[in-house]
Amino acid sequence: MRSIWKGTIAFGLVNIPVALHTATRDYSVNFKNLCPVHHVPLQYKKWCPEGKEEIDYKDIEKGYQVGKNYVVIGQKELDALKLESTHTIDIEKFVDSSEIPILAYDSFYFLSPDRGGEKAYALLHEVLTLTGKVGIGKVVLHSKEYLVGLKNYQRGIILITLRYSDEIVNIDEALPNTLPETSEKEVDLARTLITKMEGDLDFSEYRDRYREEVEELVQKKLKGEAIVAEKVTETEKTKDILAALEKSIEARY
Amino acid sequence: MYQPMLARSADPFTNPDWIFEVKWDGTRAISYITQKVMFINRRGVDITYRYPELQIKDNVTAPCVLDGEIVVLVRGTPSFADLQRREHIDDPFKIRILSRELPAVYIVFDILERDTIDLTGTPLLERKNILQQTVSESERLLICPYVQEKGGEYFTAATESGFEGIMGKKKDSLYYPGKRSGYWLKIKKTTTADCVIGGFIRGEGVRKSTFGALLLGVGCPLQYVGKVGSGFTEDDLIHIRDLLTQIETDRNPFSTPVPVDDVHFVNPVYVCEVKYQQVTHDNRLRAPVFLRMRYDKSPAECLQW
Repeated sequence: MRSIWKGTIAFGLVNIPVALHTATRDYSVNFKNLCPVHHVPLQYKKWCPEGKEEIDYKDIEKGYQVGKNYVVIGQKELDALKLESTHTIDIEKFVDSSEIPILAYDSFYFLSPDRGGEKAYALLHEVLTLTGKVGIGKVVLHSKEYLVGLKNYQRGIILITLRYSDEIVNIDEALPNTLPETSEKEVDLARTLITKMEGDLDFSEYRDRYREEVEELVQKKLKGEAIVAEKVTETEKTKDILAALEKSIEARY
Repeated sequence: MYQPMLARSADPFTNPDWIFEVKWDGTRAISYITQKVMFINRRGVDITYRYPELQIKDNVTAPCVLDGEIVVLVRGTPSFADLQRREHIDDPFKIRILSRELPAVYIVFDILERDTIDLTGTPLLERKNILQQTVSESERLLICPYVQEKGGEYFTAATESGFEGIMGKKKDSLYYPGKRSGYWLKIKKTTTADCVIGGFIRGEGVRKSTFGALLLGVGCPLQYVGKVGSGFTEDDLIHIRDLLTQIETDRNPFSTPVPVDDVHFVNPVYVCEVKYQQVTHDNRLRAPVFLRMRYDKSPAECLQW
């Protein structure tokens, strides 16, 4: 798979050249908005409702909304805040994976060894696996600094971008102050129930049913339009052309 | 694993020591056929899942390794644009639909192994014979025919029929995996170059929502060789914009000066093919026109013209 970023993992005196790849994909159903007459995708215009005119891309300004007002900030001012990409993932420390709250996990990437880094990569993978530790570090991607964790995953290392602590909602905002007391008997009963329902996770048996139904609908509609017709003869056509080519060579001599 | 043997560029010629075959405009793939079939592209990536219709296990009489090109045929000649629609879709459902709507054909031109016996040290014509004896054609597999000697005529006839060019191969040559040698020559209608995309500039007018031109480079470190602003379809513009905005970076990937203002640099990971009139004395492409993205090529392959 093609990498989206290349750089090095840096810790202590060690530098490991690596490439970054996306590790999850989104297959959720999405539809294009079409014109009812021409069936082409609609285009969206940047429209000013006040001046009643379309605005050119290069004239657009950014506004930071405060209440009903906007603090206008120019692109140049924003550019000045951008961080320069350093192309290194600087590891600051190694922590137990249990120390990272699960809610901090944001998005996931595969790290693959880049040329010359295979050996050091294998070594880092090995120790991450043996110790169960996660390397915590920082990296600049898309002009923004990210807090990241490097963790072993199967036969490789993954990079997880982590949310900052103030982005994680405090549980008190969602739950009542206290929960009722439970008795030992109730706990035992619930535990029995759970034991009865225990199973192995076969991840592939879970499917997005909405998506499957949309796919079925698409397939039905496609069949109605009989798009398959004629394609079977393409290979024959090619053979005819090739045979004719050969003949034309003989004819020319 | 075998790396595909590569070709140098040449002009049409006639020579009794050579054979000539059509140059197929698709995705180069080496197939490993045992109990199951596996297609590996020139970047070493397994692309079997993209072509579920290429069930060619029963086309061979013995386990073997074949070299060929995956193409989508339209009116008898390869349509690279349609093949590309197959190349960058990962959704299994869409792959299944397209495998029926735009089915691919595997055009086989070489055999590298049969019954676990390595044939790369066997001369070309002998390999061609073994290929004929081992493989049978079907709706999804064609054996590429070849003609003797008459490269000039074959080139004219092939390009008139809508093919992009022909390949010349020396009859007694061995198979050199991963090597670009003078034993295989590609003879094409237009001069094209594979270049690494290192950035883009904003467009104006109808192109303001996409981009105006792509900045191109070759070599390692990457040398700037010019920008290309024409040849894009509406779909190309949108698709390439989407790809490039994901990999925008502050770091200039070029090692030589880029004489263009307001550049959006990108990580140099995508390769595109352009046609051009000539290379100027200061190593720039003259009048380049965009042809297509080359997802099957890696930046490391864009070292020479």
